Formats: sequence, structure tokens, C-alpha cells
Amino acid sequence: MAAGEEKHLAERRAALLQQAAAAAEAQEGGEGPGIPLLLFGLGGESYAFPLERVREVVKPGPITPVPSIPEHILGVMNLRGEILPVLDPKRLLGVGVGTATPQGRIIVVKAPGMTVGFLADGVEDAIEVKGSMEPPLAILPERQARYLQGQVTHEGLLVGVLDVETLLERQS
Amino acid sequence: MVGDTSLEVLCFRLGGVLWGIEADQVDRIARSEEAPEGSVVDATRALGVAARECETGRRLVLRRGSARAILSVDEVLDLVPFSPNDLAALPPVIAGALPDQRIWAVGKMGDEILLLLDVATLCGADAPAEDVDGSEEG
Repeated sequence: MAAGEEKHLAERRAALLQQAAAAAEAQEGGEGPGIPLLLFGLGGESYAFPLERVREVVKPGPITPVPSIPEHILGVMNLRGEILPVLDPKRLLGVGVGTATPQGRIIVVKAPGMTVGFLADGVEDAIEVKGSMEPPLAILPERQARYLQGQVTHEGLLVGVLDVETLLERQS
Repeated sequence: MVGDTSLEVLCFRLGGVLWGIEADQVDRIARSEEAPEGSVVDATRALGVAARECETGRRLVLRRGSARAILSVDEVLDLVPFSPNDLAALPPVIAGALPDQRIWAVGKMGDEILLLLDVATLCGADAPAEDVDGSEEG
């Protein structure tokens, strides 16, 4: 291959890679309104709630179990005089069993007509993701995909955005 | 005038859970070796918990009209007055997940939460119809 040809090929490849990087950057941090999210951990993965749905984040207090209810409902907690139902999203998503640890947090979420707590392994950050929310990947297990409003890319990783209403639907 | 609206509740533990029943729905408390008359409530079936066999065990004789129902419990704790501020409805996400209306409210006791039992639902879940008929005998 002639030297000129090689140079042309290298330049073309460099230009293509530059365009690819710009496209990826645009997808993650491009123009348009951002999506405010609260990032938290569940079973080693990052998930998020839309920040507008989050009322507060608290340390887990004593949770009173209520017999005869589905396992994903951990019970009720007295949050400054308010009786807060606490749910285990890990059980719903099939990524383990939630236990209250010192790092664990209860994310208090507003839902129509009620306020509910979700036990998370830990809260990571409040972020604003540029770009749009994509539908859940087709390869995700149905058990997880059904609870996702969509997915966003944050720091190169896909983050599932949980759908509060679906999480609160009565489980059979 | 708190006394006018407060509710006196008999608090007890059953299956490790803190429960309460309005005091005026409890006829008396019997020792576990007694066999008071009345239909026996199967707590496992009615509440999803079982009484432990222990020295502190008691039998609550519950009033349901003229009928009596017996509920074995792990331990009777105390009679506690609850003001309306100490009571709250069961959150809908939990009430909707229960098979019936056995818990009509929750009571706040510091960090702990007490589950207030509805005797009519409790007895209805187990006792024969003639035993749980709430109508007064003529």
C-alpha cells in the first residue's frame, strides 16, 4: 500500500472515530432538557427513580412486618409519626432480597394517593442525564423490564429507571 | 378532653408481632392451661402467624355479640390508651394486599407499630356462623 494511501486510510479512520465519539457524547450529554434522576444501588446494579417522584431519603428504622402480605412488602415504618409502607424492589426485580443495613436507605416516593418507601442498598447520587430515555433492552428478563419506565446512559453505563406505578401494582 | 376520644387497647404479642384489640371486645384473659368456652380461632389461618408454646402464653376470650372466641397469644403486654393522634389507617398498598379487613388500623408506640385487629373479621374467618352471629340473644 502506498504511503499516500495509508495516510488517507488513517485519516478516514480517525475522522470516523471522532464522529463516533461525538455521537456518543451527544447521546449522553447533548442538547435538550435533562432528566433529573436519583441513582441508587440494588444488588450491585444502578437503578434510578425520577427525582420529581422522590420526597426524601431516610435511614431505615424498625420495620414492622404485616403477616399474610406478599414478600415484596416488608411492612410498615413509623417515619416521624407517618405510617410508611416499605417495599423491597429487589424481590420485585428478582435481584435478591432487601435487608436493612447501615448503608441501606429508604427512598420515600410519592405516588397517586399514597407515599411509599423503597429499601435500597444505598443511594448513589442525584444526577441530570442529557438525552432521551430509551426503552428497556430486549435482552432484559421480562421480570425486570416490566418495572422499568426506560433506560438512560450515565457514565457509559445503562441505568434502569423504575416505574413507580408498576412497582405498586398488586402482585398476584 | 382526650379521655373522651381515646381508645383503650389490649396489647399482646402473637407470632412475634405486636397486636392490639379494643379492650371492650375482650371478655377476659385466661391462662394457657385453662379451657374457656368459645370457638377457637386458628391464628395460622386467620392471621398467618402461630402462637408459641411458652410460659407467658395466654388465651384471650373475645366478645362477639353474645358469642365468645378464644385466641391463644404468646404474651399479654398491657392495656394502653391510644389517642386519635396515635392511630392511623393501614396504608392502601398494604390494606389492598391483605385477603380481608382483619387489621382496621395501626397504633404508634414510639418506633414500634401495633396492628389493631378487627374481632369480627378474625372470628368470621374461623368460627362457625352460629358462634359469630353478632346479634344479641333475645
